[in-house]
Amino acid sequence: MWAFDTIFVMEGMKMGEFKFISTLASVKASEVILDALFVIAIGVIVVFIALILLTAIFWLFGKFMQQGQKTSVFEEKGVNNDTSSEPHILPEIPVAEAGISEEVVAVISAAVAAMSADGKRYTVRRVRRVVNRPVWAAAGIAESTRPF
Amino acid sequence: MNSLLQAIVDIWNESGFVRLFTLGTGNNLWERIASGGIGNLIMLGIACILLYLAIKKQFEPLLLLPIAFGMLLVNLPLGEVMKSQFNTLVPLTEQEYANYLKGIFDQSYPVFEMNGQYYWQHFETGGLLWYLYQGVKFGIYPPLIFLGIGAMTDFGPLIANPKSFLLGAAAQLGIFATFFGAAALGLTGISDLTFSSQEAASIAIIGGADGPTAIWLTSKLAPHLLGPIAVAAYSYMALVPIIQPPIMRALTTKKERSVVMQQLRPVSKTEKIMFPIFVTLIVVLLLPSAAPLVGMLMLGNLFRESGVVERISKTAQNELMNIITIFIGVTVGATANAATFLQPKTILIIILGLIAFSVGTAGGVLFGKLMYFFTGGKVNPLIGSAGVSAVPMAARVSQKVGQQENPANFLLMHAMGPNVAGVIGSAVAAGVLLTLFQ
Repeated sequence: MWAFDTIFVMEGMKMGEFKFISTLASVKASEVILDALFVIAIGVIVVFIALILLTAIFWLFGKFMQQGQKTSVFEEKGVNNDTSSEPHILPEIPVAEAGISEEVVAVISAAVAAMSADGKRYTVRRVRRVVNRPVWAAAGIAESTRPF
Repeated sequence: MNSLLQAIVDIWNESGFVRLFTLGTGNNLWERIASGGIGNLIMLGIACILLYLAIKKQFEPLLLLPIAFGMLLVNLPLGEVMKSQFNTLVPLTEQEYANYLKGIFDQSYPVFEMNGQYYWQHFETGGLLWYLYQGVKFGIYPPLIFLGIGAMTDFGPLIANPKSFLLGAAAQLGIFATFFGAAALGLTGISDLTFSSQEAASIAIIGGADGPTAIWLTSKLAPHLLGPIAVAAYSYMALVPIIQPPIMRALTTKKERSVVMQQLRPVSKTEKIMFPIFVTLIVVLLLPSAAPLVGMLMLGNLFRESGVVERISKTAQNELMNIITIFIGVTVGATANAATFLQPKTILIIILGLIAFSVGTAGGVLFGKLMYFFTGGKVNPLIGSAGVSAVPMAARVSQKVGQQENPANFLLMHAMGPNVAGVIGSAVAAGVLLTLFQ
C-alpha cells in the first residue's frame, strides 16, 4: 500500500534512491501529503524542463531556417538585379493552354477563389496540362510503381 | 434411455451455463459474488454495455470494441482464454525410462534427472489470449502503437509554433494532481480505498488521455488494474467532446474565446526531418525510461517525414497499427475478469480518471490564458485544452468551442500543436512516474 512503502526523504534525495523513514504505524497525514507534493513537484519540473528545452530548440531552429530562407530569396533577387539593366523580354505564354476551354478556366478560378477565405487573394496566371495521359491512368501507374 | 438422459444432464452440469449461477469463496457476500459465476454474469453485462457504446454510439470503437469482446470472452466460465502456461515435472515410468534410454522419446519434452529419478517436463499450454497478453505484459504493444501514431502524425503545427510544447506540458498537471488525490485516499485508513504508489501513478496517467501510454505504464506498475484503467482511459477519450467544453467555457471569457490566431508559418521538410531526431535525443537523454514510447513515436514520424521509406511508413500506419490494436484491445479487455474488476477500487479509478482528465484540461486552458496575457491577446486559450493528447479529438473540440463564439475562427491547426505536444508530454510524464516508482 502507498502508505506502507513509500515515505520519502525530502532532502538530498535523487530520483530512484528513495529511503524509507516511516512505517504505517508512524505515518502522519502531513508526511503523506508532503510525499505526494514531492512527486507532483518532481513530475511537473521534469515535464516542463523537457518541453521547455524542446520549445527553445525548435524556436531557435525555426528562426535559423527562416533566416536561411530569407537569405536565399534575397540572393535570388540580387541575381535578378544584376541583370535588370538589360532589357528583359519574357516570351509570350498563353494564359490557358490550347484545348482548355474557357469554362474549365472559370471552374479552376472559382476553386482557387474559394481558397481566399483567409483574406489572401490568389490569381490564376496560367492553366496548362502537366501530364499527357488521363489522370486516373496516371494515378494507377503511380500506385503500382510506388513500392519500387 | 436413462443413461442418455444422464449423459445430457452431466454435460449440462459441466457446462459454463451452470457455472454462471454459482457463488465463489470469500469473507462476505460481495467477495463471493465477485469470485463466482454471478460475478462473471455481471461482467458479461458490462461487456455488452461497452459493446453497445462502441457499436451504436461509436465511442472509440477501434479499441472499445476489442476491449469489450476480450472482457466478454474472459468472463465465460471454463473458456480459459487467459489461463497461464505452466510447467510440471512428471516422473518417467519404467517403460518410458527404457524408451528414453533407447532414444525413443519425444525430444520436445526435456528429461531431467534428480536424486536418481528421471522426470520429463510437461508443458501445460496456456490460453490463446494469455500468449497475446505477453505483448502487453512486456511493454511491447504500446510502443508499437506509438510507432504507428508517429507515422500518422504531422508535427508541422508544433514546429511552426514551438510554444505549443508548453501547453502540452501544462495539460499534464491532471496526472500529478490525481496522483495526489489517489495517494491522499490512503489517509482514510480504509484498505479498499487505499492505493499503493504504483497504483496511484497508474490511475493518474489516465489524465494524459493517451491510451497506449496508460496501458504501458500500468502494465509495468500495476498490471492487475489494466482492465479498469484501460476502460476508464478510452471511455474518457471518447467523452472528450462532452467533458471538455464546460470546463473550457467556465475558465475563459467570451473575449478570450473569440481570439483569431495568426496563420502558422510554413514548415520546411528539413525541419520536419530534424524534429524526430532532436526530440528523441533530448527526451531520451533527459529521461531514459521514456525511450520506448518516445523513441518509437519519433521513429514512426521519421518514416513519414523522410519520404524515403514510404512502404514502411504505410505499413506502420495501417497494417501494423491495426494488428497491434486488435491484440492490445482484446488482451487488455481480457484482464478484466470479475474478481479484479468488481472491486470498490474500480469505481474509484473511474472517478479519479475523470478528475485527472478534467484537471488536465483546466491546466491546459489556464496556461493558455497565461499565454494570452503575455502575448497581448494573440493566443486563444481554448487551444490549451488540446494539450491533453486524445489526438485529434481534443483539437477538434477546441475548434468547435472557438467557432461557437466566432464562426469564422479556425483554431484546428493551432490546437494540433498542443495536441501532439501532449502526446510527447504524457510519454515524458509516464517516464517520470516509471522512474519514481518502478
